[in-house]
Amino acid sequence: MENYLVMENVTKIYNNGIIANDKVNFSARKGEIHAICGENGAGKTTLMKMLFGIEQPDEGRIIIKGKDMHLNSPMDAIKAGIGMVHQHFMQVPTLTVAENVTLGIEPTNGIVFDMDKAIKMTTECCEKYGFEINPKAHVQDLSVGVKQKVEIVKALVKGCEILILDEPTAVLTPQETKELFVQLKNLRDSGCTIIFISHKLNEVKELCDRVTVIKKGKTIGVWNIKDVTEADISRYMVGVDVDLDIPKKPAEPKENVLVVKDLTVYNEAGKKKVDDVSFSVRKGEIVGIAGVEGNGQREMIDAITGLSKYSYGSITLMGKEVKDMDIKGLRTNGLVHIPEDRNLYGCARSMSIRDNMIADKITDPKYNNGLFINEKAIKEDTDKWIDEFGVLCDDGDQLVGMLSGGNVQKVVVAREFTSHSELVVCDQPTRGIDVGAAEFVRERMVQMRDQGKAILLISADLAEIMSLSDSLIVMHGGKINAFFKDVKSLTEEDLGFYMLGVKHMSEDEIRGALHE
Amino acid sequence: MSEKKETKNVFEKLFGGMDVEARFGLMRMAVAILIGLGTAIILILIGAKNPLESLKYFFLGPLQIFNPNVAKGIGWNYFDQWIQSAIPLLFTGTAICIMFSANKFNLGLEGAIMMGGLSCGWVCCLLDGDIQAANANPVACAILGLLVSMAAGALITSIPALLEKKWGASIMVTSLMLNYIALYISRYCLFSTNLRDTKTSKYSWQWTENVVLTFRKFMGTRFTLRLGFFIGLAIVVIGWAFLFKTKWGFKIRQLGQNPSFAKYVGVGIVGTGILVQIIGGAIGGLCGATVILGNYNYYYGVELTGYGWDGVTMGIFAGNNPKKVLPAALFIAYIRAGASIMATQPGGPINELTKIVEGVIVLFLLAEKFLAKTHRKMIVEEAKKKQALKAEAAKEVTE
Amino acid sequence: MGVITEIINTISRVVVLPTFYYMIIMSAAPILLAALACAIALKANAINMGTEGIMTMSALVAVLVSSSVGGQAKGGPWLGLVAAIIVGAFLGFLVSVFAFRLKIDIILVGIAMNLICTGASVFLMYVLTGDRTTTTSLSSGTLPQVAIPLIKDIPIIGEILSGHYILTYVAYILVFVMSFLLFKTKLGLRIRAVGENEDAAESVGISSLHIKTIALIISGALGGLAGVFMSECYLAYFSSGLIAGRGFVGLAACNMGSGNPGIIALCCLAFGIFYGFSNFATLSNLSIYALNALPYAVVLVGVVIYSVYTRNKELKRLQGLESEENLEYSQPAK
Repeated sequence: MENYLVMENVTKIYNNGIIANDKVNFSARKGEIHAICGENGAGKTTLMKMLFGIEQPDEGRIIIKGKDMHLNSPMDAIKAGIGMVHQHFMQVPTLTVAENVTLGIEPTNGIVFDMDKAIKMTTECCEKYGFEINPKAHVQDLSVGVKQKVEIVKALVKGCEILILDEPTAVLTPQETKELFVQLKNLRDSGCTIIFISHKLNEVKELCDRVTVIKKGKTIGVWNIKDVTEADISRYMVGVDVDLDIPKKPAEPKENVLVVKDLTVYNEAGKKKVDDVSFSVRKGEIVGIAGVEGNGQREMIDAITGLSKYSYGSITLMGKEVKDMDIKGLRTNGLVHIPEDRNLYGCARSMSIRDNMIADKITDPKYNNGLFINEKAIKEDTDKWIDEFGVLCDDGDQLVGMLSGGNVQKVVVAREFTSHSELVVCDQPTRGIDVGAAEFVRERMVQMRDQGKAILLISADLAEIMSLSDSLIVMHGGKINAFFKDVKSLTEEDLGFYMLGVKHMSEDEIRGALHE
Repeated sequence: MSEKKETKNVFEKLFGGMDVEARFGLMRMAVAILIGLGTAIILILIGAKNPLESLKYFFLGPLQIFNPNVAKGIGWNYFDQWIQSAIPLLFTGTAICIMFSANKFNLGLEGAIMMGGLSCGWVCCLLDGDIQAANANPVACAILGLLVSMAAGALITSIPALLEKKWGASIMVTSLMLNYIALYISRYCLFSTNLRDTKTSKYSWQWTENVVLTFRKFMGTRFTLRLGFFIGLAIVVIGWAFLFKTKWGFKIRQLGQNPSFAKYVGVGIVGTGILVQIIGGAIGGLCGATVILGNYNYYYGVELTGYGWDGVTMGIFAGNNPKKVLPAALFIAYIRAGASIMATQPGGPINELTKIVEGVIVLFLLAEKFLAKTHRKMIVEEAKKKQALKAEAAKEVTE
Repeated sequence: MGVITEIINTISRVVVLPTFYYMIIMSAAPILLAALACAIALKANAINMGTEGIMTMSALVAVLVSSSVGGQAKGGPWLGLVAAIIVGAFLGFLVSVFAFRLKIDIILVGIAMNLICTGASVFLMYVLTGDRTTTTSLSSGTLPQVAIPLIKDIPIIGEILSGHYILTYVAYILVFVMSFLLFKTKLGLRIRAVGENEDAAESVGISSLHIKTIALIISGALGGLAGVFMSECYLAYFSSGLIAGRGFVGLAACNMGSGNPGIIALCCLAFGIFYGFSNFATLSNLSIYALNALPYAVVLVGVVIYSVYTRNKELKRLQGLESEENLEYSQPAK
């Protein structure tokens, strides 16, 4: 069959020098569902952004129907017959479905928006592809599943022939997913090309015709779905290139610091994100949490660190229930936390390095005499920490916003690691920072462990999590899917199976995560 | 040639130690002020019958110190006029700096000033006025008046804060409405209660000159020492120390810079948000009381003062740092005094032109894209300079 | 107790007067125009705090233009009206330039605008007329009052509804026009889309900058109308304190109705009722000054009630969604 869409040797280098796509080749035929699989940060989304005109490739060609295309904006892409369903829906909540669907190509009658025609356009499109949506309903009143259908119809109504779906099932219930698949297959049969980005291999296997695997910005290969098993795809996707050599003594875990018991968390939209999770972290060990993004780690960490509340179960820190504690209380009880989003939570970019380092310790009598801040003590200590943690800067009065990502992270780590701590939660501690800084942060974590702190590590970097963790929890679908008492015996292939839900451990084995 | 080099050296000495951002900020402020003064000159040229004379009064008036009319018992001395107009700016500027530092857009300062003046006036009337023929110690009376005014001001600005906390009502909108409510409460008290002096029926009962004089010491007939200015200075210093030298101020700034970060490091963000508005209102109340005590021996609050909006202008000028409120207030007060001196001269244009000047300066101070190209050039030059220095250092090492 | 009986007495005395209702309709009109000006800007997610200043400036321009062409006899007020709308629209455009092209916080732009406009209006008045406080020396005239045929002959109702200035009727008609514009036209759809989710609008090729600029120009023009109402209907001259916070009240009313013209109109009428009531307080022994605060207090309470109402509505909506989804989730997945 003829290739309908070809992306040839496409390269994208971001301003910060990260090569997101390195001569990626991708092609899709008319009337197929083509999966793109890859780990977080493998470059799938960047590739699709280029196809939808949000980013422009530095090298390479995009060919649609045999014609070279230059897609400089989403408008160009829409004109070329490409539609995209983003992970975050691009909708106006208070408008009706028909208004949302026709936004940008509004049918008019003079200056009046022709509601009847918009409804007709929407209904016609829905009927043609078998969607059941009430065009007069307001988008804000719809469930996530229907919202997604609106998003698909929005693309179809503009005449799209290539539909990109970026992890569409991440927000859906199993029923909604099933329904979506039926509709996507209908769409395919009516000649539409669908690009399906997903981590969920069972879904890929069920829905797609072919699969392209991308790893570290490079194409690994293209297979017919019949010819590969889930295990094969997992093996192609997951792989640790470098073995991080971190000198580390065997752990000597002592008593429990953090105990999470039967924890269940619902998100704002009321969806269950963490489902009955129990585990504990002991003094002197690093417990790693691995999992594909969106499997409940985020919500669980937010609950443990007090950034959001939880409804069921219990979390105890040093023997105290934390449910009604504010963050100040948590910190007094020995929680320190390297947040995933260092620019949102980790620092105030328009404040100085000193202010950022001292932010959580300002109430400490050492740094204020009850009335005034002791600037001398602050200056001394922060200078010491800048030195100790190797923050590259002119001086401590420089604004954090002027520093590079790695140095910002060092500021965050310096603040957290110098505070009174029992439990250290490290959420993606080395994401997006340079090799040297990452190595430094990892060494400090081991040091903290050897000092008898309990460390909870969440990381999407498998090499990091496998070499740092003493024991490892794997999350899948909001539950703990596997628990490894000892990480040394674990192969990355096996880890991939558990992360992607190909394999499951028994309840008994998982219960080992909770030391009682 | 050598002279040029000399000036450059002075410039280097003054600004060389600053980083690019600070230098650019200073430059942008200078340009904005120049544009503002340019506007003033143009307006005076348009509006004055005798432009040169008017320009002279506008730019040099406040420095002349003595107003020849004062000897005849009319008006204030020019220098005094300058200081007098600076007083409320010191208070409101500091109040706005504190509230805006926490990103709380409470515009209820105007109402706080009204209520502060009113409550202080009432206290003085009761304790040392002819309303009950009372005769308390004027100093104690003034101090009590100031304290009560702070409470009254805090009350006004805490209402929007609490309404937001409890029901999510927009601080900006509720505080705007409260200003008018405060105005009418003031008028009500002045005209419909026993605060009104039945003889004049325009003002409140009078209190003794002693209370005023505590605030306004005359040195001979020629010079006035205003206690209000020193209270204002104290507020500026305390405000600055509070915001930049105490842990509470630190938390307030954290909240304003990044509320997520503040929450994450354990700042009680709701309480801090309310606290700043209470403090801002208290300073506003104090401002109202100081203005009343420093100028009159009766209460006369039938119109909004406009000082609340001046506070926003001050806050923008000072970049939310009370330290810079003093020069900003002196500058604005100077052009206002200049304009009003100019306006009292025959043929001089109207002093409202300063509002245009202030507005223009505010816009150019804030415009992010204004002088963006120069900014970029300065950054590039700085980077090059650093690189060159590094290269030189490396060379030295290899040698 | 005395106060309460006095209030009841006053109310019973006032509510039978047709002029009371006439007053309500009239005093709500400028607030309504200002609120509509804020509304269209708010719908595009741009808070036009400069409405107060725009009103001031255009009120003066209307008077100046009108008197310069010869006042009432030569149709001056009409020319003044046109000029004021143009000036208002231009000032609205300026707000958009400073806020979106030069990237200044739009609220601060509004505050600066108010500052400049109050200063400039008095300055202009002085330069062109030599007066420092009012333009009473000019004969600028007023826009005509309209007697509505048929209705004017009905007793009482005719007295209340007929004989208003033409802009009063325009203000109330504009409520419907604005509803139509916002909810029925393509432009309105785009304004609401941009106001609510800029990314969504941009992703289908709508320029949010253009839409916001258009919204602010319309907002400015409406502010201009509100200004004209003050200087050519409410009074027949301009004075420095003429607008007296009506722009801010309009902003509050608009905030209360979250930009929906119908609710805004109700809020403005409520303001009008209490404003009218305070104007008739001379009929009683109540303090006129205490009553004067009432309309503002009513708006304040209204703003609070409305935010409670929207908050509860939103909560209910979320809860509804939640229970629906939990139901689906609790069904066996495997």
